[in-house]
Amino acid sequence: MIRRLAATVRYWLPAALLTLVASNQLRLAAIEGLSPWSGGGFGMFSSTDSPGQRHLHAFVQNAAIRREVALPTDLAETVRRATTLPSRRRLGQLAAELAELESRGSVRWDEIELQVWAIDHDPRTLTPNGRLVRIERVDLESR
Amino acid sequence: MNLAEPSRSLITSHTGPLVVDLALRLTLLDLLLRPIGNWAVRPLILGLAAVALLRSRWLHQPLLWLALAGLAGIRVFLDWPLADNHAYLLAYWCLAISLALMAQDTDKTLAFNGRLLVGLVFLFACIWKFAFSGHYVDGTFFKVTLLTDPRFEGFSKIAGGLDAGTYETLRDFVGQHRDAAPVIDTNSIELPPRFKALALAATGWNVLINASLAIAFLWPADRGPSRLRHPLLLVYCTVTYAVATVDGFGWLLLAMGAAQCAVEQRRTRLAYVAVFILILLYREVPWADSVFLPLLG
Repeated sequence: MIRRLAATVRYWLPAALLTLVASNQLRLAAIEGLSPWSGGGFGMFSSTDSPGQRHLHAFVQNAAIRREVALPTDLAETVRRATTLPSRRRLGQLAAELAELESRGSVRWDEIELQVWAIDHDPRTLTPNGRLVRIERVDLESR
Repeated sequence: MNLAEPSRSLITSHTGPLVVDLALRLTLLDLLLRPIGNWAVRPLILGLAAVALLRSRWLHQPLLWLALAGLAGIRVFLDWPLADNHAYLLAYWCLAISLALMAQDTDKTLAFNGRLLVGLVFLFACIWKFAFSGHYVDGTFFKVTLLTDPRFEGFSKIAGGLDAGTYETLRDFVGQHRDAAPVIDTNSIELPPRFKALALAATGWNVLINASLAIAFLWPADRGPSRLRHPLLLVYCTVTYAVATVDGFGWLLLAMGAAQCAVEQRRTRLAYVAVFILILLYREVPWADSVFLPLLG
């Protein structure tokens, strides 16, 4: 029994791990907007939607004003992770960090909105068009 | 089929300790030449790889390879989701080496794992290219990437016949940033026929070679298309990494391919070493930018 298990592990474990991770990457790409290039699914060089081509816009707003937030360089790594895999949890964390920075000003904001964008190209003309991958709004009043 | 041990048709013919040594050393060279991980992980990986390369006793230590697999896995975990696919494959391969070194039939276990991993890599690459990526097969991916990815700039200019001005105009056009508001078609540009042909040729070549590699490596060993797996992988690495400078991934594929050489395939083993060195030269000599572009004026 143990010999049989050992044989199974040494022949099949690495391939099973690869298949599991790559299948999960396909799932995350379909459901959570993960970039095809990332996540261990071997989708690099298959799509123009690479992490470097994605970008994020953040807006704070209240009843009177809507303003875009400049993304601090300190958060560059967090932003890159959030644009690569824009899951609700990850965007929520980023929104909380940005809200913390914005709360230091005198204006009181009601909501923060994060938009993750990718760029698609028209197959015929190569004209680039923005594609909204995910939008997340976080209510700041309840915080 | 007994699931514990693969049937004979799936196992490559006898490879021998020389082949195991070659595969292990190529993997260590990959780790040393293209180090991975942050400041905490990298020195450990480099240290282990250097020691294993210099001392034969360490080279065959399963625990050392298990540690390398673990460190590569930690790197993936810490960088999630940013790590590139090379890091994942490295972790699987180091784990496969560790498991093979624990087994009595090290060479067969290693060859089997190498074949399966290479086959699965190209299978998933095909799934992405054929099924999930919206615009790969129609050539859009290469038309855009040859203009936007700086690693392809020299190649695009030479093979696509683009002068510096045309290249910059095209690059700026496809790189425009306009969220929500679609760029008006009146601004659209005409791609030079030679560049368009290059993008379509690159697409066709990649579709063909990726699918061929997936089939050849997942086919029962040493039968039908499987017999072509070594030449296919060697040609793929020779051509692809001359243009796409992703050397770490190429070296890893070569190490996994070399692990499957039968005892009598001496020339094939040498070819793996030669292509490994060639990829190193591709990296060190920017042939497109430094050699061909000045010649073309």
